[in-house]
Amino acid sequence: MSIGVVMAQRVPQEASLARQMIALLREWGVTVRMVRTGKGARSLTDLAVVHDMYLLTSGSAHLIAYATALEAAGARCVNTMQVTSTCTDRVRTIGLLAAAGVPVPQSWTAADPAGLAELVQDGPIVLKPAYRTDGPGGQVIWDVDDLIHLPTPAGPILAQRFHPSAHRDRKIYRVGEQVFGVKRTWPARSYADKVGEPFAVDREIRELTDRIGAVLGTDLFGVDMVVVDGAPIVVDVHPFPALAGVPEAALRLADYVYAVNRGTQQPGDTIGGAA
Amino acid sequence: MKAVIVGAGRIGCGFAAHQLALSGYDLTVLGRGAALTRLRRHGGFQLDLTDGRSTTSSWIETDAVDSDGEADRVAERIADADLVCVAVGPAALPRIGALIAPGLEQAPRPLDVIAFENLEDAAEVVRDGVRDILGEAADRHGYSGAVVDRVVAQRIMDEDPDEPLRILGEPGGDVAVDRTALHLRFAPVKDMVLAEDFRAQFRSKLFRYSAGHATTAYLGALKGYRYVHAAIRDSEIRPLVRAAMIEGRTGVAYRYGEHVAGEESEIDRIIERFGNAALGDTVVRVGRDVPRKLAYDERLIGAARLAANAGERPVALLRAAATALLAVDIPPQARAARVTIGELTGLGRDHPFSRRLQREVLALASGGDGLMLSLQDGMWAWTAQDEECA
Repeated sequence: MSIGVVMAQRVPQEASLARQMIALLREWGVTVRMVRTGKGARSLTDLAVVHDMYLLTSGSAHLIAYATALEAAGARCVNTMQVTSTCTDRVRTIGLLAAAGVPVPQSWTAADPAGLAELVQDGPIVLKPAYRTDGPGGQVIWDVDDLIHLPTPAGPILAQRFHPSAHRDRKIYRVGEQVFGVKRTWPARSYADKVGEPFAVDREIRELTDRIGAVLGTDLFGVDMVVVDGAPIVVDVHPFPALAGVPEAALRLADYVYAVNRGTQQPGDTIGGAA
Repeated sequence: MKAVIVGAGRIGCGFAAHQLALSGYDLTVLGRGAALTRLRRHGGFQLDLTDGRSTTSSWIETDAVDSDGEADRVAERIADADLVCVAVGPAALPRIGALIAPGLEQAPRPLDVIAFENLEDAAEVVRDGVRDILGEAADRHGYSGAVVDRVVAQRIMDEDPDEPLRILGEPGGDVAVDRTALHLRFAPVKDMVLAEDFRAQFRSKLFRYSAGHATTAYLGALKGYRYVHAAIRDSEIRPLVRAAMIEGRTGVAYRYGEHVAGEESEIDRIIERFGNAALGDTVVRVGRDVPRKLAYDERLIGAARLAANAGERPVALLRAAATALLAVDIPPQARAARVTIGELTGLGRDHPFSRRLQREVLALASGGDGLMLSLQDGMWAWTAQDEECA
């Protein structure tokens, strides 16, 4: 059993989820190799699919492009590149979710922030690069002055109506049939803010992740959510769940990846037993 | 020497056949379906034993007979055997008497029948089944259960019938049988211990190893793990598993003596074995057949009762039992009723354990079909209830 983890850096950071997950998988006898794209050229014409499975835990546009080529060459990817590509494009993701009736904030896309001036008259907005690979974004624009002082974005942007409750947002993680929720203060000002606090996801949020999974065609993702007037609203979807704040996160993720690799990931498979 | 193994499953092939082959026996496996087809086509099966670091593969040669469609050959092989081993699982065990009785009747001399089942009265179940057919003539043969100290996790059958049957288990492991119940006219079998105190040996394994394995599976399922090797790595589950096994050991030591209960360090070695990922053992496999595992004399309730007799509070064992109760396929409201708990466990509704189990089940049931994030805080990853988003 072997897994290739496609990543930019040579060794993941010590405390990172990826590093802990990889250590567990190796302990369980799985051969895990880092597939580094680095800065040099990588051949596309003689790509060798040498692992049973590939996993992309994070990445630049170059990494995603390389992993897409690997998949085209026959590699089996835990998180398919179609899903990864979709989630990398925030505009496309929010558009798909909105079209499917998933609650999202009022959202717009623009090539130039100047085009958003009129929207700011009606209240603050949050700006994010349309492509995740262009940066995390999340800058709140309170008035036109903020727009004027914005640096020129690298590409198109996604604008979303800002809700004050966004300061206390929710990270929802989907791993197979399992759902985890963490409340977090945004922007994070301390380690505790960054890690957040797990909470029990209710049925409404769980069903929402079912719908998101169905729209995007995946059961492995993270969702940024805010609650407005008691109802959850999806503001962003990540192609890989960071699981920060979830107890035993690396163990849970390794258990899932191991099961997918063995082909034994069976949602709904329970112990059961008639009385 | 010849041996017949009834059942082409994990334990029949992965333990009984292996030990008998190593001891020089010619083997006949009675099986059916796809496993039988493969055994016949290939004249044996592949056995892979792994401790997680290295794997040893061996080929076990065996003849195979259709237990459903070749009654005459079944009888002939049994009559001609020196030893009969049964490994069909507890559910099928009561039907085995009818299958082996004709052969036992034709046998020119008394035979020994060993049931490789993790069931305390397995020998009696087989003997009673034979008695139903042969009457008192059944009693000229010997019947014993067996305590097998090896996990055989998987029987792997590729879709391609050209691929042989493959069995995956852990290496080593001995088997204890009831010396007092057997004629012992068969040649020595490798790693077979002839126990004078078979019941004590059986319970020692059941209340330590099996109790720990079940605790890992039920708590693992509650916390959403798929594999035993992952569940045992959880920082809350591991100490609870150890505590359950210590409670079980205390009861065994009290009732049967320290020499039967073994050292505490053995428990840590067993827990290490649970972490063997190469077995690919799932919490579903280890935890299934919940009602049987919750029974009065079984690994959780039986161990808890014995621990209580020894003055130990069986907190971890009862926690595992309460978690197991959640998996019983009955309506949730019935699951938490003391009368149901009393019936399922055989404790009766007024037993102090039934009250405790009810409290635990009620607390756990609040999560609906959810997954528990933290046992200590009682925190669920999700719940079935609708809650106000605040």
